[in-house]
Amino acid sequence: MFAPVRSVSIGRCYNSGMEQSHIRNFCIIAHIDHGKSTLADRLLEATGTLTAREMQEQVLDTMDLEREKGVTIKASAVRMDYTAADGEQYELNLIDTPGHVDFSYEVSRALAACEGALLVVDATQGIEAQTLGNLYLALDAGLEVVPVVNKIDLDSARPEEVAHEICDLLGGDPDEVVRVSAKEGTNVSAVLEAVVQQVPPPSGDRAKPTRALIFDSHYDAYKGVIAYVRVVDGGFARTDPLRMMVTGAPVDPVEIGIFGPEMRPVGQLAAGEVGYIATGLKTVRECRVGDTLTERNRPAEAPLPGYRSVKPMVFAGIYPTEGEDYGELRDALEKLQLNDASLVYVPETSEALNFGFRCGFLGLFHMDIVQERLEREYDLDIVATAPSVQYQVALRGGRVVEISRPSDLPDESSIEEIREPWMHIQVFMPEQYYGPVMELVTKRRGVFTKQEYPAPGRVILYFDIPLAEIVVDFYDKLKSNTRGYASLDYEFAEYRADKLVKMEVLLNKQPVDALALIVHEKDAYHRGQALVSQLKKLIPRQQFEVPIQAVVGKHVLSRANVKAVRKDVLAKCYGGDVTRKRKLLEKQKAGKKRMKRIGQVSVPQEAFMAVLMLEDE
Amino acid sequence: MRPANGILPAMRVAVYIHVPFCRRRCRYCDFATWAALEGLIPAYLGAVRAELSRLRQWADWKAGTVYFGGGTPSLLKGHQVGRLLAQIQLTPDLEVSLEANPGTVGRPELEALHRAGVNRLSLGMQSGNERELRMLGRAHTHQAVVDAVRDARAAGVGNLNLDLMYGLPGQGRRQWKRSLDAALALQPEHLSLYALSVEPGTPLSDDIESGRIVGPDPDRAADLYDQACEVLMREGFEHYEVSNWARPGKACLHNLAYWRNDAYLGVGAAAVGHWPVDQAGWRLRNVRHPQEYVARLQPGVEVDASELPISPATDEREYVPADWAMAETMFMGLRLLEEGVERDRFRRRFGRDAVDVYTAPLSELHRAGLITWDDRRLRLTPRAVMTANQVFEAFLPEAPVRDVGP
Repeated sequence: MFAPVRSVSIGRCYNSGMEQSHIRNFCIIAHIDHGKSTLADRLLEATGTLTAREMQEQVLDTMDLEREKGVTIKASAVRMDYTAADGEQYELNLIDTPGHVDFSYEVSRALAACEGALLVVDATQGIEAQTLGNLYLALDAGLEVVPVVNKIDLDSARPEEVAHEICDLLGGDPDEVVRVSAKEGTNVSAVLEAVVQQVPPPSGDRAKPTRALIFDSHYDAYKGVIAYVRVVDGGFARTDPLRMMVTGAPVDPVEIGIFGPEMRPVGQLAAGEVGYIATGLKTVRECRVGDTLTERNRPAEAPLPGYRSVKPMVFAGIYPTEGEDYGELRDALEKLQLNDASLVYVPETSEALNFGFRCGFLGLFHMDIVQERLEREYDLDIVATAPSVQYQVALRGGRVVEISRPSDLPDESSIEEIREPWMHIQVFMPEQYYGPVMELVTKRRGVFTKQEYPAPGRVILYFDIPLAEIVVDFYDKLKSNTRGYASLDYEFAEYRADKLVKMEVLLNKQPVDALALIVHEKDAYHRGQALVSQLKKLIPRQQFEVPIQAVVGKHVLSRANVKAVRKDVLAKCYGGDVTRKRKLLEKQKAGKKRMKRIGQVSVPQEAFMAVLMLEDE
Repeated sequence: MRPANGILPAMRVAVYIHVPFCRRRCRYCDFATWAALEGLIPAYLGAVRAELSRLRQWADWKAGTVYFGGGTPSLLKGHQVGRLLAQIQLTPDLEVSLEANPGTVGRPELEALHRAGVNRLSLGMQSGNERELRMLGRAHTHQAVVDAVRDARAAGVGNLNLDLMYGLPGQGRRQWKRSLDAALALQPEHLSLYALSVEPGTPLSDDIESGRIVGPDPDRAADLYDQACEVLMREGFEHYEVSNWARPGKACLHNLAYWRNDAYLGVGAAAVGHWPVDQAGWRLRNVRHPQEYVARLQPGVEVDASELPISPATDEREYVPADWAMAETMFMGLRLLEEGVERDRFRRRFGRDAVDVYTAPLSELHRAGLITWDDRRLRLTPRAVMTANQVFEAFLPEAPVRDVGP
């Protein structure tokens, strides 16, 4: 049962864990809603890891928000003990991966911790872009892919066709594709058998210096940051002094253990195994996903490949609606960051919105989640400015500055060129939406690069497009132009220079920093017109006429006036009912209080998001 | 029982008596009035007498003014009004106003009302244009107004007000001029011009929501208001309050008590009274429905001794703390365009000068050209009149007023 003891010069050999030939590490990849979490639940149930009664539905998703959005934000890892049909006892480690494109780096690290992947495909929907994106990641990571067709209980299910689609992509015999209904629990044991038979065992060397891949982490108030690890070589005990190989941070484990799925301490973890280390570290930033843990006394020569420091792509200002909530907002961001190493924020001051934070997110989806959590979990009223990307501004004289807030753009005369991030995107959809998607993307400066027909009637279009063009409502537009059938995957390509200009909005002749935008020269006129007319609708009439102008440099692109209020006085005082009058005044005043005051102008919160509504024009 | 604080010398108070009956409801109306409830009038008047008598026992006040508002007070007969007034200690120069709807009274009725003590009549003319009268659901023609004025004069009523509405759907400068001219031709001493406000739940509001009628445009209403200001100034009327114009010396004394934030008693269903106690004050509101009002004033129902003029019909009393009373004094007083808020009067009640209390908002409003003051009074500037709410807001304290039970 145990690996043969091999003596090494200084270190020990970790032989107490499960023999590697009886370990299977795998993950589940799927498109949102294709039933990944439900299948995970069934696997836990079938292996007795959790009984149905113990199981809160979808235990792997610990956050309500995830459950609601049907996606997984944090990865988890669960050990299941399984006695296979061959009578042998296996240790199956199910590593959950984030289900959204914003988290593709985290996905890649979770995949690197596995030898195999279950590819779950909805028997009605078939393969979608995200499935493909993750599938390619899994294949690139050298994983053995075990396809599973799910939701065969539905009337609309077409398991045969979908199995064929899968085999067209992966090769193999369609008849051998496992068909299940995770919801009804049909055929779940076949999935477990396929894992045992098809996923190769780990092949690390337990005698070598220890290398453990950190593929996720979370913050625990008592034990500090909990690093989720896959031991690749060697192994370690709780008492072993460890070190992060990239950041260099020393780690003296407070506890080591496995997820069962609750945290269960163990004496040691050996190559091939998956578990956790309570690091005692105070922030998840010190414990970066992708870093390699080694022993301080007997360090490995090189860290595991693939580490990348994750950079935020999308930025937005987040401000408390009421200035006095600033402290609460700061505390909330701090707490969110404990568990979210990709969230960055720095204090920011806006003339219009006063004190707040400039926050950086991995993508739009990530931004949505953070905003929603601030509002829902922390009960904060916030104003978020329109999202922006990070621009590289090359100044005359050779210096390059990075800006993520349009109003920070230096004076035009000092700028050599402005570069913006471009993305590779792939859109996967039924063929008939080719035209509308092509039009949508090219209208937004997208450049078509290639196309593929991975399945009959399905096409994948590849484009390069500026990130700035897809941060605002691109995904929604894509969905509505394809009646929901298109799916999108994207990744950073490079920075490219273009004719970009800063468009400012002047209210009552004063520029409003929070409304400034960086736009392409050729779109400036149209965007300026649309923004001004949108603002005109949103800004209520005031005591005096308020001109709204969109300007680029000294050039006024568009102008509109919010007329002054001419009549605002209650005529009658019915039989001396002053209370009624006073209540009306109070109501009016309260309404104004909810607005932000910019100079003499009261501006409602929605105005700062006006740029997001432009496409509805 | 002791009389409440005497901010009015000799306890002269304004008395409002609500008459919540109409032959039919106008299409814009959301006042406390009921149609087809006229059978209740005798019982109702008995209840009003009971309430008045209870208030008479409460303290030794004298009426400064009496105002019969509605509803349609002209549905009352002269002798009925006389019996009510008998409950009130009248003084010879007392202003007694009564709202009348054209078409409800002829010369004999008006004579009886005048004999009973009514010396100021407020006629709901609303428009000089038949189409507009129909759209508003008024139960009379313009000719009925002409007749009512003639009869009132013949009956000896020397002080006459006409109510007009502007900002009506479809009303332009021409139509408005015609109404103004028609009103002026009747030579009233006083004119009240009210902008139509469309109240939710009224038939007019339904008409507008369903698209049968195009709703009033506030900008056009503002134009019409300006037009009226010009016309009436040329005609020699004093524009003494935002919505009220009068021949010199003919301002409505009763309404002045409201604008000055003085004490007044509200008698009858849904009536509202105001009783200052030192710097703070109380707003008292009677039960809304006339039937409940009558029930509350059945003989034998007693109320506890109080320093406030309450009766069994009092349904709500709202405490107005000093900072709110000051604010109300400001925003009601500023509606008086000539008199404004008198600094002496303010100081007498609150012990502080209004200019000191509101230093910050006043200086901002002054900078914006919306308010002016001298040693005697604070006033709105002419340009601030039409958007006065925006000025008034500046005086509101932060904390809301709380409601107290009956």
